[in-house]
Amino acid sequence: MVRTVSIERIKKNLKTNGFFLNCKIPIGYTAGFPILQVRNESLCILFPYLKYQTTGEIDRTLVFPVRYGILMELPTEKIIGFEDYEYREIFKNIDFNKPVGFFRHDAVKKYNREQYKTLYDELMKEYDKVINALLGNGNYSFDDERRMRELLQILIEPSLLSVYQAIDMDFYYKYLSKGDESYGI
Amino acid sequence: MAYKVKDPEFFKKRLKEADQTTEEEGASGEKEKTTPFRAKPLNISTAVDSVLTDTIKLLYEVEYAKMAEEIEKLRENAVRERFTIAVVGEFSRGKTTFLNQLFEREFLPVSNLPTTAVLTRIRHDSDEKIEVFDEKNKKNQERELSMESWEDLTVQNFGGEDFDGEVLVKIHSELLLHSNLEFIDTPGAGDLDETRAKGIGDVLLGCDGAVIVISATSPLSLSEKLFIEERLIARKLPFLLLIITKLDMIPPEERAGVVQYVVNKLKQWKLDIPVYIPYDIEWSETTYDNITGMDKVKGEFARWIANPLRMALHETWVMEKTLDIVNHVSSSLTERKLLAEERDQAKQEALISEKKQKLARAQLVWGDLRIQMQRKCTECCKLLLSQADVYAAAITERLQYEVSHANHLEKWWTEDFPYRVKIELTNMAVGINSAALSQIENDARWYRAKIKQTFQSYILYQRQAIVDKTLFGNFDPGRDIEFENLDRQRTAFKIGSAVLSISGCALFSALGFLPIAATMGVGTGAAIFSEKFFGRKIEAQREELKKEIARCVPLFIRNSMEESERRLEAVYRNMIDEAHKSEQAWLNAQQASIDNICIQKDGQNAKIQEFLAKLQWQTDTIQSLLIQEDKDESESYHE
Ligand SMILES: Nc1nc2c(ncn2[C@@H]2O[C@H](COP(=O)(O)OP(=O)(O)OP(=O)(O)O)[C@@H](O)[C@H]2O)c(=O)[nH]1
Ligand SMILES: [Mg+2]
Repeated sequence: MVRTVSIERIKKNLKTNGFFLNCKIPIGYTAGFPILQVRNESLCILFPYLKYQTTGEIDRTLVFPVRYGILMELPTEKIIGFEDYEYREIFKNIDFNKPVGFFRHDAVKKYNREQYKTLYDELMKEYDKVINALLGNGNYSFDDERRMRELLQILIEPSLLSVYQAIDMDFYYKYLSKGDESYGI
Repeated sequence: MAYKVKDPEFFKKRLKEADQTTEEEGASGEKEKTTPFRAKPLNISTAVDSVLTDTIKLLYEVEYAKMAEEIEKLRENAVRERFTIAVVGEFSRGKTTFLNQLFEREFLPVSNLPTTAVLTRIRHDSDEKIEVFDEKNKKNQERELSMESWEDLTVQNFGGEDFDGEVLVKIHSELLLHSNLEFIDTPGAGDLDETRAKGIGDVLLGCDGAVIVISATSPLSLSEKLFIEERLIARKLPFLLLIITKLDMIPPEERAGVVQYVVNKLKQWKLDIPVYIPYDIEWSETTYDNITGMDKVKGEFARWIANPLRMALHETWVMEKTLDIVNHVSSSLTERKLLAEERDQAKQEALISEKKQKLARAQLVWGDLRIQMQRKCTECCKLLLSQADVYAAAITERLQYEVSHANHLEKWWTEDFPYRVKIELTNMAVGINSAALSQIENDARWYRAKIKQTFQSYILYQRQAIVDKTLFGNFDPGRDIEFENLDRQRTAFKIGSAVLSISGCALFSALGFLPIAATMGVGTGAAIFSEKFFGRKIEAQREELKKEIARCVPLFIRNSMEESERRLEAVYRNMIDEAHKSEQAWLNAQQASIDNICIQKDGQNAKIQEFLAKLQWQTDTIQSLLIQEDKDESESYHE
């Protein structure tokens, strides 16, 4: 029987995963919106880790660049990669100690905590849907895809986009790139 | 690996053709192996399509993803551009009935009184509904697709008030879906209501074709002739057909006679328009079997869509733009190669920083050009306004002269005067239009030359739409986002208007003098004929009318100039926007070459060399196709 995959559960499991603990990701880093990719016909999920730092001011919480990546195969949840992006060539000019933006960014400022949470949960559901569909378990319609794209573009910090693009072009262009608006009525 | 993913290419596919694929096929369907996100190319040939596809692939390979996407977008737009057909005619001729019959369902309101009050656009959508847009093109309502929804949208319920908005009817229709067709039902034009007629004139500019509806019970009046000539032929609307309705209402033995009459009249007026009878009716003879029936009408539509000239326009348009982009990439790659060849690290860095500076400066130059162009727009407006003043004075003088020689003052004022104003304004329209045209042409040429000279890129304005379909709707720069989609589709990169510009009348109609001048409400108040007025001597009466002429002629002209100014601005804005797109492409390419140099690796140079060769080949292919198009086009001109 195929077990349904859920991002929330994966994230929870991760916290007690031996490999993960050994990666020693410093305290203060949290997982951003995961990237999905296919590697040798296996579905993988990559959790980018980044740091937020409060300043005491509303909407001025500092956002730092994505620093680490944890790669996991699905649905086994086996960790198959860990990377510290500080050592990747294309990031060599990035100062990981310099904030790149603020939380909350403009697109989400108009939502209160509850509304934000609703959107966030909806996005997680879309993630679950696409993952499960790709694993042969359920459907993921074009409307789902469009909605997921929409949600990601609202929720993700714009300052992180270039990192997402550098890490995974396919995911970036499928879900994050605003340039491609040609789908319409 | 136990779990193979369903669709390994999933993340490589972009969301595009949502309405072409059903939910079940969704994201993981096996059926999608062959490029599921591509629309069937209706408007471009497979040869051109494959060149585009190759180019897109190549650009992704060279890691110019942004540029590749640009071309994808262009292709998408060329492919998806709708073919818009307006149904026009005087009121109660059966326009709406025809559409109901065409779609084989009663979804639009019909009655024997003037009915249709708003422009009604009909498009395919599996989610059927009626959307009401206000005069600012802002969607303000969604309604169910049912007869009740029309209650306040028909003439009877408008209480004389004008509604300048538009209604979009989304119906599920295979006919529309597979042909990219869109229909527009128009309120009855003609003598009914001049302001409404004006709206129709505007809409026709954004159309590719028109169905003229006339009724067998009153076939081809003079005003219908004028309508056809002024609004359709003068605009060089490329595709026209005429249908005769209500033949069932006259005795069978007279039917052929009516059709014959219409055909003869058209011939006599030298109007080459095919005639159809859309509904199967009883004939006393078989002469007209070949033009009877809805399938014949549909056949004509199909021929319109497949018209090679139309396809050629789409192709030229998309390929010129593509070539533009490919050229950008080539030059950027060449630069990358030069930079990479520079072995000395310090020198290389110096080159890069120099390039960055240049880029920053270039951005300023682009901005400056934009401002200059805006200034030219203002100047052009001023020029036209001053010309209009001259015309106003001349026209006033002529009309005053006429009134001073007229005997039946009331008759002259109510009958001759409106007619004379129409004529005068039409003449003025022609004069001012051609002045505008040459001014705009000059400015466009200047703009292009400047850009070309400064950025050495290919900005092609020749056949590029200077005119935008959005000009035809109500123009509002701060458009609501909700309308964006609808609008983007309608604009669809202005191919439809390229049809107009190829026929050499783009600007002529874009400025919209003719429709306004010809349809303006010139039936001025008869209120002037009060008892007091008739109490005076004829000379005094004449003086009174002269005063009135001096008052209202400039007013008419000012009104029509306001509209024209708005359009003129839109034309310029459009050129500026087009250039802005080029600017973005140019900047992207430049930026990409800077970015990519930072991740330059050994052995890349050979690869770049290879890509450059491939790009060159691609350029040659496109160019040869373009030359082919040019030839085809000029040939069909001479037909
Ligand atoms: N007998 C007959 N009646 C027709 C035919 N076509 C239209 N009618 C009738 O003519 C009247 C007017 O038809 P509409 O379709 O509303 O005409 P329209 O051109 O849309 O009119 P407006 O919207 O007012 O401009 C209605 O009562 C129709 O039923 C026809 O071919 N035969
Ligand atoms: Mg009607």
